[in-house]
Amino acid sequence: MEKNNTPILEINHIAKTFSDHEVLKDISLDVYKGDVITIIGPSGSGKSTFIRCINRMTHPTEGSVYYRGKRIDNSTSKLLHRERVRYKNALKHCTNDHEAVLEENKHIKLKIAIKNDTKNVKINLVRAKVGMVFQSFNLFNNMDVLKNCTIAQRKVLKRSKEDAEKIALENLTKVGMADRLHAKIKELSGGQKQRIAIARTLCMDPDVILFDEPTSALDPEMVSEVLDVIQKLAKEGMTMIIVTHEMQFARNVSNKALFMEGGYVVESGPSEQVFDHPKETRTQEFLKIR
Amino acid sequence: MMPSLEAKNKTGDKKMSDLDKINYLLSNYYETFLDGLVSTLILAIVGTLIGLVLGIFLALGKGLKISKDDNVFKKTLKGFVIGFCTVYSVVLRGTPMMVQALIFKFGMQAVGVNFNNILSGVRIFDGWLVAGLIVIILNTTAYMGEDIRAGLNGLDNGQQEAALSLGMSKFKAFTLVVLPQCIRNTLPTLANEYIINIKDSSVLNVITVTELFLSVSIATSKNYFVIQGYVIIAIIYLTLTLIATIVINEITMKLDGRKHKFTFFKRAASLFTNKERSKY
Repeated sequence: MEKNNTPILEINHIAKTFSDHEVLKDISLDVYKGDVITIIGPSGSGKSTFIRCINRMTHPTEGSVYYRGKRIDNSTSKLLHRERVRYKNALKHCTNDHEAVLEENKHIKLKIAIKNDTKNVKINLVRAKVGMVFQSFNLFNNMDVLKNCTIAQRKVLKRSKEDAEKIALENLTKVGMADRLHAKIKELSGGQKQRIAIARTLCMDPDVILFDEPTSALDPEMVSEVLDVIQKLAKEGMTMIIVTHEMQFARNVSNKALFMEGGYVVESGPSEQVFDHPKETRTQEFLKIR
Repeated sequence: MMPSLEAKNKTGDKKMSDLDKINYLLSNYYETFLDGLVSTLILAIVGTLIGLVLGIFLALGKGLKISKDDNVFKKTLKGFVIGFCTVYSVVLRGTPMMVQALIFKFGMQAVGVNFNNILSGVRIFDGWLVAGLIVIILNTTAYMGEDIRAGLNGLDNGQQEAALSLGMSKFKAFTLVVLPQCIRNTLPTLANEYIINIKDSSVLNVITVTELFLSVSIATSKNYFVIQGYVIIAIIYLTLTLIATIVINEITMKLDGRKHKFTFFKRAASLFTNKERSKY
C-alpha cells in the first residue's frame, strides 16, 4: 500500500488511568492514509479506551495525539495548566539558581510549543473528520433515518438542506438503506441500525473512521451485512481503525494489526504476520482459542 | 347593586333549588368566574412553562461535576452553583407553597415592594397575579428540576457521545439530541406537574390572587350560595385537568408514532364495551 510521509494520525505514548486503575500503558501508533488497522485482544484490555482517546472522547493522562500535525489530545488551557503544575513541582526539586533558570527556560519553551501545537485546533471539527461508529449504534432516537444523517452535516459543516440530503442519500445507498429514509429508529433491526450509523459517519466525509466493536451487539446473521459494508469501504481506500472480535474478518480486511492485553500492545505488525505467524506466545494462545 | 338585591329577594322565597342557585351564580357572576378561570390558566400555563425552562437550568446546575483538571476559580464557581441548586430544590420542595407565598409576600413588603401599586387598574393581570406567578414559577422550578434530572439520568449516555463524535458542540448535542429525548421521556411527569399547578394555584388566594378559588368568595359573599359556588369551580377544575390529560395523552401517542385518531375516546369506548378486557 502506498504511504505518504506524513501520517494522518500520530499517537505517541498515550497512557490512561482511571483514579488508580491503569487502563492504558504507553501505546503508540501511526496511521497513514489508506491504512486499515485492526485492534484485537481479550475484553478489558483497553482497546475501546484507546480508540476513544484518539478523538478525545476520553482524555489520555499521558502522551499526545496529533491529527495532521496538530495536537488534539487535550485543550490548550488544560495542557498549559498541566505544564504549570509540572513546572511548580520541578521548581521544588531545584537545589540552586542555575537549575531554576534552566527549568524556567524549559517551561517557557514548552508553553510556546503547546500554543503552537494547539493553535487553530477546534476539536469539534476534528471529530467531524475522525468519525466514530459505536457498539450500541447510538442513532438519535428522536429523528428518522434521513435526519440522523443530515443533522450533523447541517449543524456542523453548515451544508444546505438539499446538499445534506443528497449526500445522505448517496451514503445510505452505499450501505443499502436508501429504501428506509423515513423509518423510525425503533422499527429497525440491529444490523440496519449499524449500517445507518456507518452512513451517518460517512456523511461527514471523514479522513479516518474509528470502529468500536461494530458487530458485538449483533446476531450472527446481521454481523455479515455490517462487515460487508466495512469491507466495501476498505476496498474504496477508506482509512479505518477497527476494534473487533471477528478474527477472520480482521485478518482479511486489515493491513496492520495490533494485539493488546492489559493496557500494553503485546504484538503489532502486518496483519498476515500477526494472524498467521504470531511471534509472542500470548498472541498464539489467544488466536488458537478462537 | 342589582344582583345582590335580587338575591335577597330570591333567597327569601326559600324555594330555590340547587340547580337554580347554580344557575343564578353563573348568570350573575359569570364574569367573576371567567376572570378567575383566566387567572388560574395563566398561573398554571405560564408557571409550568417558565418553570420548565428554569428547571432545565436547575437540573444542569445540580448535575455539574467538578473535575480534577479544573482550576481553583472554576472549582469554586461550580461548587457554588451545585450548592445553590441543591439547597434551592431541597427547600422549595420541602415547604408548602402556601407558606412560600406568604413569606414571599411579607418579605417583599419588608423590602418595600407593594404589589398593590404594581399594574394597578389592570383587570386580570394585576400586581398580585404577578406575585402569584413568581411564587408558582419558583415552586415549579424545583419540581421540574428534579423531573428533568431524572430524565437526563435515564437517557443513554451514548446519545450525547454520538452527537459529540459527529462534531457537535456540547451545547448543540444537548439542545438537538439530549433535551428533546429527555422532554419526550418525561412528558407524562411534566404534564402531571401542570395538572398539579392548576389545582395548587388555589392556595395563592392567601396572597389575594383572584384566581378561581377566590372568585367563589367574591361571588358568594352576598348571597351565601357557598356549596353551589364550590361545586361550580370543582367542575371547572375537573374539566381543566381532564382536558390537560387528554391533550397530553394525544401528544404522547403522536410522538410514539401511533396513528389512531381520538385515542382517548376509543379507549374510553372500549372500556364500556369490554373489548379490551375480553382479550385476556
